[in-house]
Amino acid sequence: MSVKIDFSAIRFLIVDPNPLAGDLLRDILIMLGSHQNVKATRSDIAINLLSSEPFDIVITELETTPLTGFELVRWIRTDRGSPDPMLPVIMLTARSEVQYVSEARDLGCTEFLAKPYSVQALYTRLVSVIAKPRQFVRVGEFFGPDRRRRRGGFDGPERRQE
Amino acid sequence: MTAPQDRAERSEFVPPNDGLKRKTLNFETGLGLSLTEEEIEKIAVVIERSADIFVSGVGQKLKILRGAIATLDLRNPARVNVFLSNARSEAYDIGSMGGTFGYPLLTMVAKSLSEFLERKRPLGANQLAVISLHVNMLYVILAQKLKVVDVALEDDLTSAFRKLTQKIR
Repeated sequence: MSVKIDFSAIRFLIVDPNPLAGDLLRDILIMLGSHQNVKATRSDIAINLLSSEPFDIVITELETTPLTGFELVRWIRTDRGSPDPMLPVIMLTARSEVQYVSEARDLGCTEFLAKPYSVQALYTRLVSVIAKPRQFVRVGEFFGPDRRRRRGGFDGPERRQE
Repeated sequence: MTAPQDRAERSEFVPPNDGLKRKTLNFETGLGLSLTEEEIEKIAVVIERSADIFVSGVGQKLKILRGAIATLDLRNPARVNVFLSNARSEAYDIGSMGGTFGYPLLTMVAKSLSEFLERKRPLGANQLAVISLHVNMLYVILAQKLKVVDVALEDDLTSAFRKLTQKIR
């Protein structure tokens, strides 16, 4: 018997100024079984949504306004108004150069995925976020997932607890 | 110099939040930790459906950009700024989605244009010609539905656009 992920239990917030990109991602998530997806084309709307509704995973573009995707991550991780500083955030962007990947990591993004993306690449990031949650670290001004990745270990549910 | 143990003391570790894991992982419902070929094919159908919207949308945007290039008055800074802002935004969007819809060449040319447009300098006739060449190339790729291209040809085009944008800055 193999481990499964029930995507119907997950509530996604998609932040992308490009409506088609947001629609495509929402449609893919629906195909995975998640029907509780909310889209925002602006980061201020995303913050309002995060402040008023529960979400399990945020998937955001970097090129958002008025706050950039990076500033949105900083808000989630460190702002007093943030509903959950440990909320998983996947940065999905065409800004795939090394400096952006490093900055995303240093601001506390959980995962980074370059556009254009494949379904397999997106799925790998989702599985990582859901099945392999990382411990968080607060050091200096940084608060985010431990930047050292763990290796190995069992990722499934604990059968003895069933 | 700070001892390693002092640096470690300043770090506060918070255990992983496994609420999402507990809520979703099970042995009965949902998808496995890797997608099967069949599942990927089902999702590909959804992407194909959106591809038609993408192609017609990009075609329309490129038509508008070509019109703007043809009539742009380079002596009018306000108009030039609006044009550059629009062109940057369109190039970024096209570059970020082309590959997902099976148009890797579209992504390559759009990224080249996007990088070229991000340089801060006055826009002259030469720079406008480079922008126009990129936009026309994007138009041809889309009109000819150039999805699968020879790797060597793609490399040649990438190299040619790089040389062009390095020469005309």
